[in-house]
Amino acid sequence: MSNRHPREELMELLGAYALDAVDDDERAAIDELLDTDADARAELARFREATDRLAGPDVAPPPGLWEGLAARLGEDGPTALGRESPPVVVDDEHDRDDDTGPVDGPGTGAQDDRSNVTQFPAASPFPGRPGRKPFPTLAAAAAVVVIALVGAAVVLLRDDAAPATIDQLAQSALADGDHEVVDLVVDDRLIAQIAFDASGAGYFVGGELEPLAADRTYQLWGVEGEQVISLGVLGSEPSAFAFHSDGAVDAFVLTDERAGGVGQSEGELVAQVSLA
Amino acid sequence: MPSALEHTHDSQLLVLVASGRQDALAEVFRRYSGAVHGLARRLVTDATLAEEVTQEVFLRIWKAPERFDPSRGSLRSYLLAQCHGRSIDLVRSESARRRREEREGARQPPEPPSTVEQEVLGEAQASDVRAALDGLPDGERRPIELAYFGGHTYREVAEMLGEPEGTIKSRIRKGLSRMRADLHTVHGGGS
Repeated sequence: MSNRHPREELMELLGAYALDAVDDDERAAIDELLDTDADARAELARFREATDRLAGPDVAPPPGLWEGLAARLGEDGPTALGRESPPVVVDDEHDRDDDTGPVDGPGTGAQDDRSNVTQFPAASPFPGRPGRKPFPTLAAAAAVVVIALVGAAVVLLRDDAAPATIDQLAQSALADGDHEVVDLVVDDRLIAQIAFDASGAGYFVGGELEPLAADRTYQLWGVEGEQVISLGVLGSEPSAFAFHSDGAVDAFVLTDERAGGVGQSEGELVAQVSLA
Repeated sequence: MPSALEHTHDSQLLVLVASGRQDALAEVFRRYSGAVHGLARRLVTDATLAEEVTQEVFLRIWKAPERFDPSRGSLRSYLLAQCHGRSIDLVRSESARRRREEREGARQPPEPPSTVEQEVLGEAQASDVRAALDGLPDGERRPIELAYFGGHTYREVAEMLGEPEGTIKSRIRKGLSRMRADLHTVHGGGS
């Protein structure tokens, strides 16, 4: 929070902030407050319920708008759409039980966003990295399928019966050419690598990850089709970690969670990589 | 044909978007493009510019899904806030361009120049918007109209209305709180 703007003053400004009616320096100070103050975030969420009412009724975008958008997504996306315009949901009747939720028409079955919203920890454990934001809840029933095999202390036996640490196996997997290797990058900085093979066996090497507080842990997730699966709880200072995935992973996601790990994410997104 | 992600929760859709899934973005678009485009049309009025705003809002969530923080409101609220900000920027620049052209005599305006809020508020007379605002005392309704539809800061609003800045801040807060309370009264909800 800025010294120029005491908390009380910024809380008073949240209504104007919700209307996008504050000056730039005030906006920056409020953004800073919101990063660390759960009460301020909750207050803003309440004001935004009100400002949503000012948006008025839905208007279906013209045909072709999705195709135009899809063409602008560039080559970053892993999948070609290969589909027609998504049918647009328009709230013709303006009959909302919950104005802040999705506005799907009857029978679409789409779900309300608010009832299951998870409150995320506010403070970033990485001071000076403002780009990190809370990771949306992994609402699918995520099965924690891998026991945390954290650090080099765990010893496995190779075929030749020579003991090898997870570190050594992971380094070997990164270099042997038999494993696909992907990079996790934050702010153009390589923070970790993942090596995995066709059987689903993989290694996470996070040598450049910043240590977390003792009550926090990194957690690795795999996106498999519609499911988000926990691949393991890595600890607060992970170096190397072994995991196994039963399905074909489309993307890896690394989050910062409370110590012990979670069945579905409550924490902040650290990095993600698509396997397109 | 229904999307395979039709029943996927918003928050998980964002996870999929973060992993680069275009079909997840398509589902977000399916759910909220009507709301976003409706607001853009009301604020920008120019159909082509409104389409551009709508595309930009969804392009932004594609590029930076981590910027959405569910503790600050729903995904719909977030997308609408993005749409509002971009639309007001366009309205301001368009208004400035028009005034510049008029000063230079490039063309004669068909009518006397109007204020931004007059331009956009005229397009925002939808009954539900009016219902939301009409429940407010004038002292709370006017600052909210000028800020939201006119794109004015609370300081500018205070100057326009000849009121102290603190009064305007307070009235905006009270007005929004009242609108939210009315919403839950009307729908019998609460949170």
